[in-house]
Order: sequence, then C-alpha cells, then structure tokens
Amino acid sequence: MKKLKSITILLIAGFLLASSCNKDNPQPVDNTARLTLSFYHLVDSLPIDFDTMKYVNAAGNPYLVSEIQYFISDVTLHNTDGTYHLLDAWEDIHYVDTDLYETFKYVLKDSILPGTYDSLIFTFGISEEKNQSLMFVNPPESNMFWPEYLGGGYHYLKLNGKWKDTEDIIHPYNFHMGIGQIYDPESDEITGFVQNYFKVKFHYNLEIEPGDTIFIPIDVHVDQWFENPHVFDFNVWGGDIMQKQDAMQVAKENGHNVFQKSMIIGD
Amino acid sequence: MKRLRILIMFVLLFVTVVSLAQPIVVKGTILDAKSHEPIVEVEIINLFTSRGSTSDKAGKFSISLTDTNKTKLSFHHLAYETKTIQVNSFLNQETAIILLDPKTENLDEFSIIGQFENDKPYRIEYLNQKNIAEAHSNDIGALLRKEPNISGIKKGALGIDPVVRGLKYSQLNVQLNSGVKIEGGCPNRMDPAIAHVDLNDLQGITILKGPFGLKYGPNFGGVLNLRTQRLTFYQTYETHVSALMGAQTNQEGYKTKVRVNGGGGKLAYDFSGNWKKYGDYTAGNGETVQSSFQQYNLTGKIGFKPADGHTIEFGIDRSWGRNIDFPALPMDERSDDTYIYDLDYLGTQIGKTINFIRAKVYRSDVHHIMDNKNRPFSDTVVSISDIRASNTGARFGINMNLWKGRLEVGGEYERITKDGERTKTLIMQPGLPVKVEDLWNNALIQNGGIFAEFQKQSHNIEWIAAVRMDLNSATSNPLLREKPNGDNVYQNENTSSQFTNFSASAGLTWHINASNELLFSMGSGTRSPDMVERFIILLPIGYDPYDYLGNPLLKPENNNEIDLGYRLTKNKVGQIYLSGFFSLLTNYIYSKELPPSVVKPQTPGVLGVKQFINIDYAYLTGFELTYSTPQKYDWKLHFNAAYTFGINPTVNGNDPLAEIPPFESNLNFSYSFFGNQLVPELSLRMVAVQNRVSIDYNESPSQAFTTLDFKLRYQFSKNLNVFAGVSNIFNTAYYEHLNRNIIGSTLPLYEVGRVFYLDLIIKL
Amino acid sequence: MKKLILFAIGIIFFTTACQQENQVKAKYIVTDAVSAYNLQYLDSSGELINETVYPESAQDQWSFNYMANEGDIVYVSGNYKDINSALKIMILLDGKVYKQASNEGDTLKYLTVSGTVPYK
Repeated sequence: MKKLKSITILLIAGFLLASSCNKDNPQPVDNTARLTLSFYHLVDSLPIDFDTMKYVNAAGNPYLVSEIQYFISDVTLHNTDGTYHLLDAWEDIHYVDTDLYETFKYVLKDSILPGTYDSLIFTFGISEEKNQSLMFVNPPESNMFWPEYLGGGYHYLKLNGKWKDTEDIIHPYNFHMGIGQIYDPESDEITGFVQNYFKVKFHYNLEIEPGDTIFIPIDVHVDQWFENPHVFDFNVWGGDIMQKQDAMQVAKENGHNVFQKSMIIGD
Repeated sequence: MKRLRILIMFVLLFVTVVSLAQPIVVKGTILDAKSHEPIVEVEIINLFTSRGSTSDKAGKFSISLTDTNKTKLSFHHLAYETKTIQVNSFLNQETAIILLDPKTENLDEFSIIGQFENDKPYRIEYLNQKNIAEAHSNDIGALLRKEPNISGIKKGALGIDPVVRGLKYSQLNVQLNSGVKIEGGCPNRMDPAIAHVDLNDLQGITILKGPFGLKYGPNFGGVLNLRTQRLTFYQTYETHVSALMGAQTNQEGYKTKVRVNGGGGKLAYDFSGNWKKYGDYTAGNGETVQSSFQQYNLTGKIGFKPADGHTIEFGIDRSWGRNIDFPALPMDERSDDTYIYDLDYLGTQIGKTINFIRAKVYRSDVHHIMDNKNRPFSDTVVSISDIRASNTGARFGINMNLWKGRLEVGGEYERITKDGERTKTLIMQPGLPVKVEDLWNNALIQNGGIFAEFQKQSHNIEWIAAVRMDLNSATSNPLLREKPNGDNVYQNENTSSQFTNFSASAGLTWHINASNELLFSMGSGTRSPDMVERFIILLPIGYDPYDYLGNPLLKPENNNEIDLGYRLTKNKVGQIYLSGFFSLLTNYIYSKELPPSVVKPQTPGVLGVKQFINIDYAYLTGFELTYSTPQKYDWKLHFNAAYTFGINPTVNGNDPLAEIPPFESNLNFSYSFFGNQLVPELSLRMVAVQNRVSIDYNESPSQAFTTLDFKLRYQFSKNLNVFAGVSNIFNTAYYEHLNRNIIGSTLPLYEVGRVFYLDLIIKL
Repeated sequence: MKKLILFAIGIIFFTTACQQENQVKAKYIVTDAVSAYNLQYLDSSGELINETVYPESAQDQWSFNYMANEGDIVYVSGNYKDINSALKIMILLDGKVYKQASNEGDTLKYLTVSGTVPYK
C-alpha cells in the first residue's frame, strides 16, 4: 500500500518535472516599419475651445464649434522609386471624433518596407467604391450613416455648431459632407449623385529603416472650411449643406487647405 | 438486615445485568418474495449496535443480539428493496423467514449491468436521485461542479458547461438515457446538451472519466450519462402522484414538478411537468447579478412488456426556455424550444448466452432564438439570431456470455444538422435597413460507429478491453460572409471532410485481497471536430476576444490516456479511492491567428481572427482522491480532493492549457437521526487560487475561496420529504475560475451569496 | 382521493404558470411639422408602412395606435425638405412616453425614433 502510494506520487512528480522543462522558442525578427498619424483640431491656429462663441469666420459670421466627426481613408505612401503603398491591410477607413480622444491617433498596423518615401496621401471621406451602406453596423461609425434617399453610404464629415446671423440670432449649423444630390429644378426630384470626397497630399522626405515607427502629426484647421479659396457665408447658405451640392462643392474645394502638416520628419 | 438487603439488591442487579447481557442469537432464512429462492450476500444490520452479518448461499443468517426489545434489523441487497424488521416480531420462531421484494426499477441498463459486473478500472462518479434532490440546484452543470475534477463554464443563468479533467464541449460525450444526443443551437454554447434536460427529471447522473467507455459512442474525455426516471412496471395496477415544490431567497423564485406514474402488469406510464421561474441574485459582495430565467417542460413516457424480460418504451420531452439572462455574452436567450423523442427496447431473459439486447432510436430538435434587446446596444442595432439544430440517431448493443467472459458488441449512428442566421435591424436609420448573415449554412455531421467490449474475470483480476471504429463525415454550404455590396469578407467552398477513426482501450482491476484493489486503464479515444470547429463563420465564440473561423478540414484529435487507481475498502475504515491520470492529446484542436490580409475581423472590439487548427500535441495530468466512511454508521464523512493541469508545449515554452480549474477539495459531514429520518449535513468547499493561466489566451488568474453549506433532510412521513438548507452560509463573495467575465468589463460573473431554501417532495 | 387533489393542485399550478403573450398599447405621435413630410413606421404585423403626411400647422398631430408584443421593434422615421419645418416624434407604450426626440437645434431634415418593447 505504502509502496504503491509512493510510486503514484513519483509518477505525478515525474510528469510535473517533465512539464516544467522550458524549451526556447526563437523569436521572429520584424524587418518592417509602422506609421501613426495624429490629428490636432485648430481654429485660427490654436486648439479649439468647444461650445464657446468666440470665433468669427472670413464672412464675418460669429460661430462656435460643438463637435467634429469625419472619416480618413486609403492612407498611401509614395516611394521614390515610383511605387505606391496603400496601407489598407488592417483598418483602411479611420473615424475621428472630437468627443473621442482615442480616435485622434490613427495607428496603422500595416507592415511598411524600409525605403525612401516622398509623400503621404490620404482620402478625406470615403471613396465611391468603398462607401457602402451598412458596412458599419456599430456606433460610433454607424451614426455617420448618410440617408439612402440622399445617396447612401456614410457622411464624410459632420461639423456641428452654432452661428449668429446679422440680427444676432443664434442658429444651429450642421456642416455635413457626403454624397451630394442633383435635383431637377422643376420637379425637385433627385436625378443624380455627386461624390464629394477628395485626396490630400503631403510631401515628406522619409527614410524608413527596419523597426521604425513614424509619427506624422496633422493639423486640421477647421476655420479653413469657411475661407480658402471660397468665403463661406452662413447668411447665404444657411446652416445645413447636405442637400445643397453647390455648398458642398465649395466645402470640397476649401477642404484641401484644412489639412496641413504639423512637423516635418526627415526633412 | 441492611447487609442482606444490599446483597439481594446486588444479586438482583447482577441477574438483571447478566440477563441483559445475555446474547441471544437470532437465526433466519432470506428468500426472494417472488421466486422463493434463497438470496445470498444480504447484509443484515442491527440498527442499535450497527453490527452486521451476511446471508450465506442458502440464504441463512444468524446474528447475536443483546437487547431484543429495542432492536431493529435491516436487510440490504442491491437488487432488492431494503426491509427493516422489529426483532420481537420473529423472536419466538425457530427460524424466521424473511421475504425480500425484488426491486422493480431494474430496467435501467446500468443496474442490469450492475448485476453482471463490478466497477470499471477507471474513475466513475455516480450521482443518484438523493444526491440530486439534496444538492438543491437549478442547473445540471452547477450540480456537477462539486464532483472531483469536474467544473463548469458559466456564462449566465443556466447551461453551465461541464469541464471534466480539463476537457470540455464536444470532448465530452454527453448523452441522455444511454444514447440520446442533443445538439445545442447557440454558437456561444448558451445551451449545451445539459441545458435541455430538467434536473428534476433525473434519477441519476453517471460520469465515466477518460476515453474508456467506448461502447457509449466515440469517447475522448469522458461520458456524462443523464438518466431520467425510469418506468416502473408494477405487479398490480397502481397510480402514483408526486409533487415537488421549492422556493428560495436570493435569486427569488420557485420550482414545481408534478408527476403521475403507474401502470400494471405489462403496461407502465410516467407523465410529468416542471416549471421554474427565478430572478436575479445578489452575490456575496452585494452586487446584483443578472440571472433571471423561466423554464418549463412536459415529459411523457409509455412502456409495455410484450413478453417477460422485454420492454419497449417511448418517450417525449418537450421543453420551453424563456428570457434567460447571459451577462457574459453579447446576447440573451430569448426562447428555446426543444423536442426529444426516444424509442427504446431492452430485452433480457433471452437465453443463457445472451444477457441483454438493447436498441434505441431518437431525435432531438432544438430551436434557439437569442437577441440583444435587453442590452443598451439594441438602441442602435437590434440583433436576433435564430438557429435550428437537430440530432437524429440510433444505437444498439448485444451483451453475451462468451469465451468465459462477457462480450458486448454494437454500434450507433448519429446525424447532426444545424442551420441559422442572424438578422441585424438598424433601427436608428431611415428606411429601417436590415442585414441578414448566415451563422450556420446547412451544416451536417454524420457519425457511424461499431464497437466491441470484452470483460473477463480470472482469479482475482477483472480484465476489460474495447475497440471501436467510427466513420465520420461532415459538409455544409460554402462558408460565406459578404459585405453589403457583395464583396467577400471570407469565402470557403472546401467544406467536406471524411474520417475513419479508431479507438481502443484496455484495463484491469486487480483485487489484491478483500480490501485492496489496484486499477489500471489505458486507452486512445478519437474525437471528430464539431460544428463550431468546422463551420463557424467569424464569431467571437472563444475564450479570448477574437473572431473565430471554422476549419472544415480540421483533423480529429486523440486522447491517449493512462489511468492508475488504488482503492481500499474496509468495513470499519470506509473507502479510499486514489486515482491519477496522464493524457497525451495528439492533433489537439487549438487555434491560430490569421493575418488580416487573409480575412478581416467583423465583430467590433475583437483583436483579430483566429482559425481552428490541429497542433501536434498537448498534455493533461492530474489526480482525484475520495474518501467515505462506512455506509452502516449513522454519521457519514465524505472527503474529496482533485487537481488537473494541462500544458501546450508548442506555444510560448509550455503555456498552460486555458480554462482548467484550480485544486479543489470538499468535505461533507452528515448524521442520521431516528433511523435516517432526520439528516443534517455540513459541506465545506475549499478552492485554491488559480495562477496557472494561459498567456496565449490572455487568461486571468482567479482567487481562492471557501464556502460552507448546511442542509437538512427530514422525512416527515412516508409521503412527505422536506429538504431545507442554507447555502453559502457566510455569504462569501466568490467566483469560479471558469466563470466568464461580464461582457464589456473585466469583472467575472460572481456566484450567488447566501441562499435559504426549502423543498417539499410529496409522494402518494 | 388524496392523489386526485394533489394532481388537481399540480394542474392549477401549471395553468397559472402558462405564459400569456404580454401585449402593450403602442402609440406613435408626430408633430411640429409645418409642411408635408414622408413618414415610415412599423405596424403591428412588423410591416414598414410609408406615408406622406400633410399637416395643417405645427400643432397638428399625426398618430397611430396598435397592440404590440414584448420584444417587438417600434419605429418611426420622418424626413422632409422644407427648411422651415421640424419634427417631433414620440413613442408611447401603455400611455407612458417610451422614446421621444425632436430635431430642434439641428438643421437635419430627418429624424428617427425607435426601440424595442421591453420584456417584463
């Protein structure tokens, strides 16, 4: 009986010992680099004071900013050898929301090959091919849905706030961008849709080494939506533009100047 | 004068004492009440002194008694109803004749087999009706957690998924009444097989550990056999009505069961209905845990005996589950509708060679609906999953005397189908868009197998060996997940597979002497992958936050196990049973992360996609130790301790296997008052900390805890039994290692705090 | 006799236990619009009904009553083009406001109010 007990204990102990033997597993070496974009939201080149009526746009409208929500997609690096590297393996459409601090950083998990890159390109909004209704089922992205009858897909931009008219009366504004509609002037029926997304291109001189993590900060000059090259007057367009393609065209052209590079790396 | 009086007193006293001490020998003969044949090895116990004797081959016994006025003798035998007789009643007769009634509930395959063989050489845990009634549980999985090396994964109010020696899910062969299999509907296993059976309908649960019970189907980790109440064929026509009513505090709710059974001669019937409704409970730390549910069922069984020794039974079980909370999952179970049909034949008395023939045909149908309507997320998207799963099968076996031993051969067939979809209604959007996704796409698994098991006893060794062959095939419509524009997120057309699996086991029980036994078993059990492992399409059904992807070409896994056991049984000591096992799992089914270039995750918040794969090997080892005091004493002590650990040597230098419970021990003490009429019991449960956690799965360790329960069983009368108690007397705040976290938080599901309960069982 | 009584008690238990489908009175109310708007809503059979409503004034109320079951989706969505118009949508269950919203403070010309009838 005793002998048997000791044998059993020995056996169990034996297994325990065998199991604790560690094997060394070789760790794989990563030869690639990573990219992270950061977004800073500014009005008049200073960080935004939200919900504070202290700003005046180029048209002379006093305004405040409540919140900004938008999509950035199809981040691409252009190599000096002429090739484009589209970083869409993990997250090709990124949502930014001034109410969600964590969205200000866009960490691209794609592996970037070492080399020399001379520009960074991204799409403001979502391309026609990718802007599919119902692809986002969960909030907050799902709340950016653009109604089917107005073109479907998702908003590129929701810039919400308030403005004062010439009689100092405060009105809300919803400066929203997405797929525009063409209305028949007589029947007022929708006869076509317009894609209002656009590409932003920054020139950099990037020497990317294996294992690098490149941080690219981007300033978002919100006031430029209303200013450059077209002066946007709320008194003319009103507070909402999502069903006014002409207004969205203005916004689209102004939009190129909204995104500016903050710091230069490697140049 | 004084001296004389004292002397007389002494003499009188002496005479009284001597006469009291005078042993009287009571003799008798014990016969079968029906056949009048003598019964050998009946245990006769003097209830006053707890001393006993046994009857010989002629049914004769003799027992010494000192005080005949108070003495009751009780007569025990496995196959007969226990009888208790006041000694006075037969003292004057030369030899008394005691008639024992054969137990009429002898139709269960396990008790039939019990007449032919002793315990197996591997670990088996038995829970009988008394254990089940006393345990006061609402869920079979919860009840099993107190057995050594058995735990359960808890995700919500019901359906705790059993884990035996670290193995779980389809690695365990869970069946109802020796053969009926049930396939749950939920990809997240809200409704494992045990969830579709009502605990109050069970007469017993048998757990065979290890890949050894090969005659019960393909076996990998063990067999869990749930046995419902069997039909009783009464001699003359009788009807019995019984009812169970129970209520409790903390998780306020109540349960009711009504049963009518009876019959006579060649016909028997059994109808019952169960109803349970419970609310949320408070854990030891004061937190309210969502745990409400409603469950009801109706069962009907009819049996008849076309000839002596042959029985045909047909049974239907229809159950309803409604509004069952699952706080650890993103959805709750809205409804479960299950139908189980079972046609059974058992033939005995077929001759000297054939011991019995059994055959069974069954079908189980599960319709499972779950949704997120009680969750805040349903403000934006209402998700409803609707799944139908069915399991149709048959089983047969012949047990015969051959080659001076017993051979059982037979086979079974099982056909599992599963189909379901998830509908997402985006209720915040104009136009009320609706998106429908396949969860299962007409998935089908079939398994057919044949087995042979041979047992032989030579001298003091019982040998057993079994072999099994299974043909397993599976297929489904292509695995497909699409984007709304028609682009593919994932597509796999290669969904068919076929396997031929071999399993074998052998073992021996060596009765060294009357008290000591040595048990040894070794076996190799093969399990084919299940519905989830083969066909799931991007759902976070695993322990870790990844979208899991089925692998239709997954290979079967093997459990190559050795068990060693030692058992000591002594009249005055009781029984000690120590068992240890070592399992080498080959082609172990594990998972591997897939790069997003292959497939992107679809569920928000997950870290990526993992697909099921086979890895070369992993292993598990552990032990169980149980001790019980002798049955004949009024006081009973029961102790158990168990531990298992598992290793995956292919990952991170010996990563522990995930979801294995820690070391645990249980201590029970009870005392029988008034001839078993009043039995209080104290149960102490001690669970150690679990620090052996899987790094690969980012598993969290868990804390140690101790709980104390008090139970009381009171047999008020022949017709009324009362069970009352307090569980978790100290209102300990604790959670089991295998309890999942509440969705969206790092906090685990806490177990219930202190509960006062009262159950009444009335039998008429 | 005793058996019969027990059996009867058992049956009574069951009949009282049997779940009845819990129904609630659902009511949709839409108001605040000064001109025509498109409306979509779910009725008792789960059908999405499309309607154009022509209110006479902002105080004009459009309403719809029906019996809804526990777990049913309740849904009302409206849209219009007139920049001077607005919408206020309310969903009431058994007389109490379950969900409501208005697009005052917004220039958006569409509004959706929805939910599921709570389980008791």
